[in-house]
Parts: sequence; C-alpha cells; structure tokens
Amino acid sequence: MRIFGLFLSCAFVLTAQVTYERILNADKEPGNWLTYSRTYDSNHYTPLDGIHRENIKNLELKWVFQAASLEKFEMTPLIVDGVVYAVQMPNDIVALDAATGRRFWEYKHIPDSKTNVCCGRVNRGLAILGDTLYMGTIDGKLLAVDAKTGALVFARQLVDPTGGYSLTVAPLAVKDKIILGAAGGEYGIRGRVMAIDPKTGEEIWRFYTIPGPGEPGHETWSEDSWERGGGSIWVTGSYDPELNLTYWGVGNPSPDWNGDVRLGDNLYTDSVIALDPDTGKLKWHFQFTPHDEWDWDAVQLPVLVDREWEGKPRKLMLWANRNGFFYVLDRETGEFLHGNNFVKVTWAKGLDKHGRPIKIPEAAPTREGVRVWPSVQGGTNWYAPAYNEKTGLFYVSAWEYSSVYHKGDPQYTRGNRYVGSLPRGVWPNTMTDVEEQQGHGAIRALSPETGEKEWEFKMTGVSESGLLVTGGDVLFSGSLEGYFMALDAFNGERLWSTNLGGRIAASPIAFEAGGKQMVAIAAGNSMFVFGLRD
Amino acid sequence: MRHPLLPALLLAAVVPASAQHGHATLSNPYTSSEDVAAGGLIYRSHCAICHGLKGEGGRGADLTTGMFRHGANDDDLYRTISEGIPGTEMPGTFFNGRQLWQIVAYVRSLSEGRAAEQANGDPIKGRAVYRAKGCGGCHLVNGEGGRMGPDLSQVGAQRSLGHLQMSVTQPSANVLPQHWSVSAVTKGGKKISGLRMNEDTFSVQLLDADERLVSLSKADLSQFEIDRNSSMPAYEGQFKGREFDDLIAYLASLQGPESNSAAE
Repeated sequence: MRIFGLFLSCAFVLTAQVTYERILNADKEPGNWLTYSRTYDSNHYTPLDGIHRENIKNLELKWVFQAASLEKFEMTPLIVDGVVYAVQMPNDIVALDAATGRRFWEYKHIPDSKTNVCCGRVNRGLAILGDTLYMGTIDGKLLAVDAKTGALVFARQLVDPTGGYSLTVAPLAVKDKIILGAAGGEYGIRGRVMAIDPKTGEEIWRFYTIPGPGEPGHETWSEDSWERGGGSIWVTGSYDPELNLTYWGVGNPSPDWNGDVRLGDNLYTDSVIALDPDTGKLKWHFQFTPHDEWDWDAVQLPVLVDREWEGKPRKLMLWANRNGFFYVLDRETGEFLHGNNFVKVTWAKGLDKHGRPIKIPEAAPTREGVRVWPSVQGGTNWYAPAYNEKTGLFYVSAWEYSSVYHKGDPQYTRGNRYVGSLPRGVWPNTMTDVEEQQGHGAIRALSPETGEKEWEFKMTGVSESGLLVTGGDVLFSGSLEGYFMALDAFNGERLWSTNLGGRIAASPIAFEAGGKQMVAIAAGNSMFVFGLRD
Repeated sequence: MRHPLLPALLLAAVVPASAQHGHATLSNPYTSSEDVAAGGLIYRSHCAICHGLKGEGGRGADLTTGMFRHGANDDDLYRTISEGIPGTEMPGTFFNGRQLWQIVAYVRSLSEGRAAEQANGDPIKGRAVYRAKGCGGCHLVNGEGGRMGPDLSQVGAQRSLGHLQMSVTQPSANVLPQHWSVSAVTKGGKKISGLRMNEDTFSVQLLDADERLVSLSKADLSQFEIDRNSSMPAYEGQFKGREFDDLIAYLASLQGPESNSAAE
C-alpha cells in the first residue's frame, strides 16, 4: 500500500517545537523537562504531584535505558512531548519514547583521541531550541542535531582539545542564543562563557572567566599566571528574565593545589558571575573562595528564589558552595546577605560582613600535607541542590569529610595536567578507610534565613546524586552505594528506596508519559524510569 | 562473535604510539601489488555491496574520485574502515591490521589515474529546481526542510551520480529499511502513518505525518502495515531542458553541513 497522505502532508513547513517562550513558561507544562534544570531558576522542583508521600510505596520500575558505554553517567535528560533525549557517554544522543524507553533514533559522535578530561569522559546533558538539540563534546565541538531525525545540522569547533579544553556542560538556551562554557581547569585553560548562534554555530560573544590585560580583575593574577588560570564552566547556569541576567558558577584556579605561582585573589575563579545574555557583559560577581588552594570550584547550580528577606520581598540566590559555606546573595546586585558553614570547616574562621572568608593560614596546603575540612570533593559538588517554595527549605547533598592537602611543584606544558600535587583522601570509602577522620554523607535541609539545618538524612557513605523536590512533597535522591530513595520533603524521613546496583552520579528528574508521572535517575551505566503501579 | 575491543586492540598493535596520540600521520606499510590484490579480494566481499564493484559508488560513496570526506590520510582511511563512520550506514570491520592496510591500498588504487566523476549540470540552478519541485517539503538540507525523506545534507558525499539519478527517477528502486513507511489503525479507529524509525516485537516507533515522534503498542492496533516502497513520486520525465542535470549537480554538491556552499 502506498501511503500518499504521508507525502502530501510533508509539503507544509511546521513551526519550531521548543521555543524560548516555552522554556520561559515551563511551569505551564510540568510534564516536560525542556532545559537542564527544567526551569531557568534551577530550583530542581517539579509541580507534578501524581507521586506523593501516601502512594510512593507503589512505585515500580517502568523501563531501563542501558547505555553502550562504561563511562560515569552524569547526564540529565530532556523530556519534550513524550520523547526523552538522553546522552550516552561520552557524546552520543538517543531519542527514546518516554512511556516505554523504546528508541526512535541515535546519533553517534566519536570524540577525537586528542582529548584530555580530568574527571571522566562525561557529559551533563543537552539544550533544545526550536527543533534542534545542542550538545558540547569532550573534544570541544558544539553539535546541533535535528530532534526529529537525529541528523547532524552542524558541528562547530568551539575550543581546542589539544590545549586541555573540553565541553561537558549542558548548554542553556536563552532567547536566541545557546550559552555554554569550557571545562579544563586541571589543564591550565583560560576559562570562558560563550554565546552561540543556534542557526549557524557562530560565536556571538565570549566572556573570559580569567580577565586579560586591561580588564577589571586582571590585577588579581601575578605575572602571566592568568594565561593558564583555569576557571572552568562545569555546570549549567541560571537565568532571571526580569533582570535579564544569566548566572554561572566558575571553577577553580589552575594549578589547583599550589597558589604560589598565581598570587592574588584570582578572579573570577570560584565565583558566581552575572552576565547580560545579549552582550556577555559582566553585571556583578561574587567570589566565594579568593585565592583557592583546595580545588573548591563554584561548581553548583545558582538557585534563584523570590522570597521575603528581613520583611521585604527580595530576589535571592541560594548557594551551598564546595568550600563548605552556605550563602544568600541578592541576585540583582550581588550583595552578600548571609553565610554560614553547612558542613565542618577548618580553613576559615567564618565570613566577614562582605562574605569574604576569614582564612586560617595554617590550612593552606604544605609539602608535608595538612588535613582540612571539607575534603577536596567539597561540602557539596556539582550535583543539583533543590528548593521548594511550599516547605521553604533549601536541600543539599553534603559531604562531611576531610582531605590531606599537599603542595607540589606544578609544571605547565600545553594540554597536560597542571595541578600541583594531589590531595590524599579524595574519595571516602567506608569499608577501607579506617582513619579516625572517616566521614559520611548526608542530605540536609537548610533554612534560607538562618542557614541552619532543619533536618538531615544521614548516610553511611557519600552521595554524588542531585536532588529533586516535587509537588507531592517528596525529595528524591540517590547514593554512591546505588540506592535511589525518596524522603519526606518536610522532615527527611525515608519513604521508599530501592537498590539500582550501581553508583548514582546524576540528578533525578520527573516528567509525564501517557498522562502519568514518572521519575528518572541514572545509576551505574543505565537510566531507570519509575512510575506508579497501574 | 565479534569482540567489541578487537578493532581497538588491532589498531594499537600496528599504529605507533605517536600516531595514536595524533601527533603524526602514518603511511600504509603494505602497498605492494600483492597487497592491493589481497585488499581487492576483501573489498569485493565486504565493501562492493555499497561502494560498487569498481568503487564507483552506489549506496556508499564513490571511491574513485580520490576525495575522502572523513579523512584522506592513510591512517584516516584505516580508521574509517576499522571503526566505521558514526551516524552513517558505514559499519566497522574486524580485520587484522595487515588486512586493513591492504584494503586501504586497494581503495587508493581505485582513484589512481582517474579523473573525478563530474556532474554536468549547474548546482546553483539545480538548487532552484530543488526548490521549485518542492523537494524540501520532505528532505532536510542542513536542518532546513521536511523530515519524511532522507536527510540530503551530505548525500553528494555518500552517493554516486548514478545512484542520485536513479533515486530521483525511480525512488522505489532501492529503499533502505529506515525509510520504509508504516500505516496503522488503532483499535479505537484512529489512523496513523509515518516513517518507520524502529520496530520490535511489541511496539513500533515512527515519525508521523505531522513530524511528531510517536510510539505505538502493537497490542493497541487493529491494523499495521509496512510499505517498503518510497513515498516519493517518481520524477522520470518530469524535467525540462537541463533541469535534471542541474538538480543532480546540486545534490552532488551537498557534501555535509560544514561544506554546503550551494545550499545557502
């Protein structure tokens, strides 16, 4: 039988699928997940309430996507009108049916072998704008792929992998631009945020996270250290449409554990930067860890929250930083409003009235090694925190752990590691680490007003799992032990958990398929999708 | 059974460390007439089905032009033959290092002393023919157009002139499974048709006539048919003057998203 209707209908050009307006109004369609954190405010909250505290005991596995890859599965998928767009490490894209997990298409990209990545050949996800998906690759390309067919639209080399640059972040689509930044802070890169034309792949603007000669902040680098000063972009930024500002966390200075070769505050490493998305101009910045010698990137999602502050409505930014402090900033001006440690901290006495840490000189790395809290993995790391307006709580996956920080002699050679020694005790292992200082992980709920812990769910091991809080008052998370779990968002009590048999190093998301809420999490080398028993 | 690591291991066995890290290119160490002949034997049984017995192309790229889109160095060809080309129909192979080099030698021999096949028409005029005939309603070029037909962004690099001509005049002569169509009727009476993207025992995934990705459970269907013909009408006798040659020249000029100057 010939299917003539098929041909006739193709004569009409269809409108673009995912517009900027759809992403902007993501709460009107909570069954989808159109950008890295679902909404531009990066709250990692879903209004979906089909799965709630009372029925979560009926959660069951609906389908599994098994990746043909043994790399760490750090990706957050997108959900667009019943289709899951996921990345198979390092840089393949798959389109799957959201209800069954069956595959529509797959796009394969084999990265150039001339690629150095510090922390796994990973990718954290995609952006979509119109009918096109955008993915950065570990060999420094931005790929544009047709969302309907998986055909390559363009491939644009944005950064040079032979210089240690890579792209692992999920891009952010804002208005008519695709915004992303370069990774490679362990290889002496000069970090940058870039805005790309979604039609052509041309670069529209570039903001260097390490200012060059003549630019403000350049004076915070001694001699020529800025040329290889690091400042990676590891995690997707947020966007405030009213202020027209996009916020990005900047990574550590290079070399990581020897600051002698880069005296000064080393702006804008370990900072949040507020950029005009139209021009790339810096509106303000706030540096969490000036002259960092512990590798504490500001590698977290900027969580944008509108709520009362000292009796007046205010546009806030909540930030639990890798350096162990929790911050509240005014996101219009960058003003520091509040800060306190949310894990044990031994490198600073506290924060001054401007939010600058009061450092303890003895905590700087030494040749013999010095034990400092938090660990090199930080009080938290890149995985998503969450915020829920109903509970009013900020949720974070916390590490109570220390490292022994050693200072070495870094030698820069282009494209190679440039770190200056390596801390000991990078990775807590509860079965082999018998030192007194053995640590643990916890999911903590903090009050934004006080920064104090409202409750915690203590774990034996630690977690690289992000968090998702739902309209059903459930907080989803996972652990390196392989547990996927649901906690009561009000008090942290465990409601449900299951063992997925592989470490969770991703953030859970929720969506709808067939009108029913699903929740997805990657564990080991697979992505698991759960829904309620029919 | 093919061992997934085998090609990489074999490559490592014959490619010096410097080349593996991309600092140097490597020339084919097996280029004697015996090697060319040995490569030709492998070629006939494994490659000719797509690239033609004489390398003239067909479903696969024309190998007689001396132009190789995915890298023209010897080690590029070695890698392409060993690993295949992601996102295309070109698979990897499982030959040992010497055999792979012999295939490279044979592929090189196909273009020795031969001028590149040239299209006779004008690609710029051909682009106008492409538009006038409404080809873009069903075909994508660099992300622009419809999706019911194959993406043509690099069809000039993938298909010979003869194959392009045949595809226009007799589109149903050679339809790959990923371009088959399906039509279905649900038990509720709803008719759905589209491009078959994937099918298994219990379900089928398709791009429907409105270019939506749709997954159907076969248990929910009262009718389900696969059409192995092309849904494109045959254009034989539908062109005036040099329109046909111009169109073919335009299609031949489509060498990939980064090099399609005539496609602007």
